[in-house]
Formats: sequence, structure tokens, C-alpha cells
Amino acid sequence: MNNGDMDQESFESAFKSQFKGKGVKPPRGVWSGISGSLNDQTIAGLQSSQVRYQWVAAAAVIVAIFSFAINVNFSNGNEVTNVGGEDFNALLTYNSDGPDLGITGVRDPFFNTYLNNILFLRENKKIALKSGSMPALIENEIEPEFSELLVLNKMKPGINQAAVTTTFNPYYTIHSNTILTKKIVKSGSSYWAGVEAGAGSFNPNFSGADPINGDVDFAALASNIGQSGFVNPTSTASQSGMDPGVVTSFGVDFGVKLGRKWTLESGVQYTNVQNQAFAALNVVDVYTIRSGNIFSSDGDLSSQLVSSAAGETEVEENFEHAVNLDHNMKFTSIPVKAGYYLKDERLSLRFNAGFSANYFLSSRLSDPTGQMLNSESNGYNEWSFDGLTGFELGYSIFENFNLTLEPNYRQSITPLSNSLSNRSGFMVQTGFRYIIR
Amino acid sequence: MSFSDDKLIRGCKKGKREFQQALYDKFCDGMYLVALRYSKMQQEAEDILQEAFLKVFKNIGTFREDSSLAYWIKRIVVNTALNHQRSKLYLYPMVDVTDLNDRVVNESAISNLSYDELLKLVQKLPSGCQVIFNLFAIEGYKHHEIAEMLKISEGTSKSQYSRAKSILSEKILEREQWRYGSGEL
Repeated sequence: MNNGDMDQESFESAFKSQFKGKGVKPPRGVWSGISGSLNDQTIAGLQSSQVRYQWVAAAAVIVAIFSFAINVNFSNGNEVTNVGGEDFNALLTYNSDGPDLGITGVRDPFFNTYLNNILFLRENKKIALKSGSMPALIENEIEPEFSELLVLNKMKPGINQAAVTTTFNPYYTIHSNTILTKKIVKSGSSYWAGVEAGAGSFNPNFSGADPINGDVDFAALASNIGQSGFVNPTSTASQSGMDPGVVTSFGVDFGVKLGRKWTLESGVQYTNVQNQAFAALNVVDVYTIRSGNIFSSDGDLSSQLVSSAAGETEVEENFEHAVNLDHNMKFTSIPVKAGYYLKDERLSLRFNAGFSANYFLSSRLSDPTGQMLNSESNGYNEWSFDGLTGFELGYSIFENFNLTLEPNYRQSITPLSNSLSNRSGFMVQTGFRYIIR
Repeated sequence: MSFSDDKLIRGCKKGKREFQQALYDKFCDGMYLVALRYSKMQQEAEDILQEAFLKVFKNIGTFREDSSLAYWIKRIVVNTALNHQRSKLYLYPMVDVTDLNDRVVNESAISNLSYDELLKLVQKLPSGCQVIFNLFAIEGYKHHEIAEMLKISEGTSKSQYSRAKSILSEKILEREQWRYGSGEL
């Protein structure tokens, strides 16, 4: 190695060791720049969060407005002179010199709630409104200058009966307080009872032969078609069926409004089904003739099979004789329906769904031609169940009186009989109801 | 206030500014020297350092605590510096260098110089030579690794390194001769 020369590894090691553990203090401005950038990033993050919060706030406002829209009954612009029996979703101004509402007790629980910062208080048996206080303060802060009266929807009967003649000027508030809403809902529950009648179609989707075959007197039918006239009846077959018909019903119904939208309804209906059935008898008669016109038969000769053998002819005749029967079936239905108001105003629209328990009463087959004896059926199940769904239109014709019209569809859940396992029906019911608030 | 690396990492992961500053204070001197080695000017090194630490704070959540924090930060600083230098490397493509003076100075000649003097010599290297010298001699990368990092051939890396070494040796010898000549030693 020459003077000053060294191997390659030593060169790198020497450099490396010279820099190892060394450092140079950077100017202060570097950290300032880093810190400033970090602040910017933080602000950007906060701005991003802020945007999110703004969206959340906007969504909350929209929900509140929507809630307002669906909760408030827009009756603005009308002066109300009597609150008895009326529903208001509004705060009403009140002349403090007005009459006593006659409410007993220190504080009515119904009004012992608050809406945002607005408290509903009572003073000297008057319902008063105070703004800007918290519930904890209301016990001892009943101030004489209260000059507003709150009237909420679904006021208690005792309040409704008050002879209030003071002029009220309604204005609106947003029902955003869940406690209040709940109270209103609770107090807004209503019941109804009514009568209804309906008519529609009945599709038996008849399959099989039971129970009609058991009810049809085929012997009588055979006798009526002259079975004794057969030469050599080799087989006899019977057939029966059922056609679609008409169903009518009438009954009473009662229901309860659960909350603002939901209802539960039941009742008792007497249902009558009228449709056509038929019974047919097929007889195969086989006999031999020596000569003659085998086509000379009249009556119910429907087909012939002719074979010739040494001057003799074997004839097979199929006789088919059918009679139309009237079928009448009666049962009692107990429908149970849950409903949801899609629109709940003077003209209302409600979706209903539920089931109906049917108790079989009777079934009768009758032959108008008198060829068969009329018979009572005993082949039906005592209980059967239908699913039902429909839309009910309601119209308030008077206060507390509603007219209803409900197209609905029914489908069997359990069979009425072996032959009526898949019956269905479409019915339009109409009714008249009295609302008990 | 000094914190352990664990505390620093936890604090930085939570975005707490005091921990971020403490981490910067702890490592900034060494990392600034790294940035200087890859730079031509102080301002450039400051930019690299600032950018690198912002990356550190941004990506501290991905740091695996079973590795060395100092090494992880240094990797970020080096990569940031390479990104800064890469544009220059594209402007002045590195080619194989031949006909080099193969004289290499001895260890004592290097030891006689302060790191500050050595830093200035490194900073005066041509850009390509400077980067490859740092990566090979100081950071300890192999030539094939450097070739992959800088998208050059291994031969180019080797020849550029040889050129860097030759230039540095020449400069160091010049300094030695000047010292001896001036009677400094």
C-alpha cells in the first residue's frame, strides 16, 4: 500500500465513523414550519369534521322539519273560540284575565313536561306557559305575568269540557320533544266501534271430491236418470266440483289507535258464501245386439264403441248425467288486523294486514231440479284461518263519525275442507264507525 | 422534558403537539446532518428535514414498535432526500465513469478532518456521486440495492461510487498536503 493508500473498507468505515453520532442543530425555522404545517393539517381535519357536523346538523334540521310537518295539523289563520272537542297542535295565546279552566290540583301531569326551553305551568288553576326555564325551577317559579295558555292536541276530557270563550290566536311550535310527543300520543289514543258490511268474490279453487261427494246422493241421481234401463252397467263413476261465487258479510268491528299511526282492529262478522257446484254420474253400459241400428238410442247416449263378431254387435255406451247444485256456506269470522295510517286526516288511508279466524256454521247443497235430496254437509273443519290484507279509505262525515271503504284480499292459511284448501277471495267492505276519543 | 421512545410514539399517535416537538428535538440534529449530506445547500436540507418530519408525524401510526424509531425516521429522511435528488439525477443522467485515479487516502487522513469538513466535501460532490456515496459508504446499502432504488444499473452505481471516492480522496489529499505545507501538522 502506498503512502496515503488504504483498503476500500477502511475508507468507508472512516467516513462512517466520522459521521456516526454527529448532528447539526437545524435552524428554529424548521420546527416552526413543521408546526405550522401540522396546524394546517389539524385545521383541515377540523374543517372536515366541521363539514360533517354541519351535515349532521342539517340532517337534524330536516328531520325536525319533517317531524313538524307530520305532527302539526296546519290550522293556522283561524281564530278558535272554543277548544272543547277540538284538537290543536299549537300554542295558543291566552288572556290572563280569561276564565278559570276549572282544573283541579296543583299541577296537571299532562302539562308537567316541557318542550325545549318552554315549560308548561299552571297558576291559579290556569295553564300557563313560561319560556326559558328548566324543569327543576318550575316548582317555585310560578310568576303572575304568565299570559299564555298551552292547548295541545288530544286534551284531556276534563279540559275539553271547560267553557272557554276567550278568543285564542293559534301559532305553531315544533313537536321535537320526545317526552311531549309521547304524552300527546298517549293522550291521543282513540277507540272506535262500528258496523260494517261487505261483498265480494269467492274462489274455492276446488280440488278433489271431498266433501261434496259425500253430500251428493248419487243413488238418487242414478235413479233419476233411469238406472234400471241399463242393460249391463259395468261401471259407475261420480264426479263433483265447485265454481267461484259470491261472498257477503256483515258484522261489528272495534279498534284502537295505538300511537299516531298504528291501529289494532278486530270484530265479528257473519259471512255467507253462495256459489254453484255440480254433481255428475257416469255409467258404462255394455251389451250385445244381434241387429238393428245401434245409433237409434236417444237421451244421454254420448258415445258408442262398436265391434262386430259373427253377426253380433257388442255395444259400450257411456252415460253422463250432471246436475247443477246450489252451494251455500256460512261461517263466522273474527278478523284481527294491524293497521298503519298512510294518511290520517279527514280523508284517511290505512294499510291493514292480519288474519281471520273462521268458525264454520253450515253448508248446504241443494238441487233446484229436485233430482237429488238437499243435504247438509258435515265434511268441513270447524275452524279455519285466512290471511287478509287491504287498504281502508276513511272519511269523517261528522265529528267522531267515519265512513270506511276497504277493499281486501283473503287467502286461506288452513283448509276449510280437503277440497277447499286453497280458497281465496276479494271483498269490498264498507262501514260506519263511531270514534271514542 | 425527555420522554422514552414509547411515550413519544404514543403521544405522537394521539397527535399531541408537545410529544411531536419532543420527538423532533430528540432526532432533529442527527437527521438534519443526514439531510445535509444529501443536499447541496442548507435551505435544501431544511426542506428535506421539514418534509421528512411531517411524514413521520403523519405515518407514526404505521410504525412498528419492535423496530428502532431512529432507524425508521432515518429511512424516511433518506427517502425524502432521494425524492428531492431524483429530479436532479434525471436532469443529469448518471453514466459509467472510467479512467479514475485509484489512489485512496488512508484512514488517518480522514480522521484528521472534522465531520463538518467531510460534510462540505461530500456536498461538493456531483449530485449522482453524492447520493451514491451516501447510500453506499454511510448508509451501508449494496450496489444492487442502490441500483434498484435509483433505477440505474449496478455498474453505474459502482462507477459513480468510485468517482465519488476518487474525488473525495483527491480533495482530502489536497487538504493534507496543504496542512503539511503550511506546517499545521
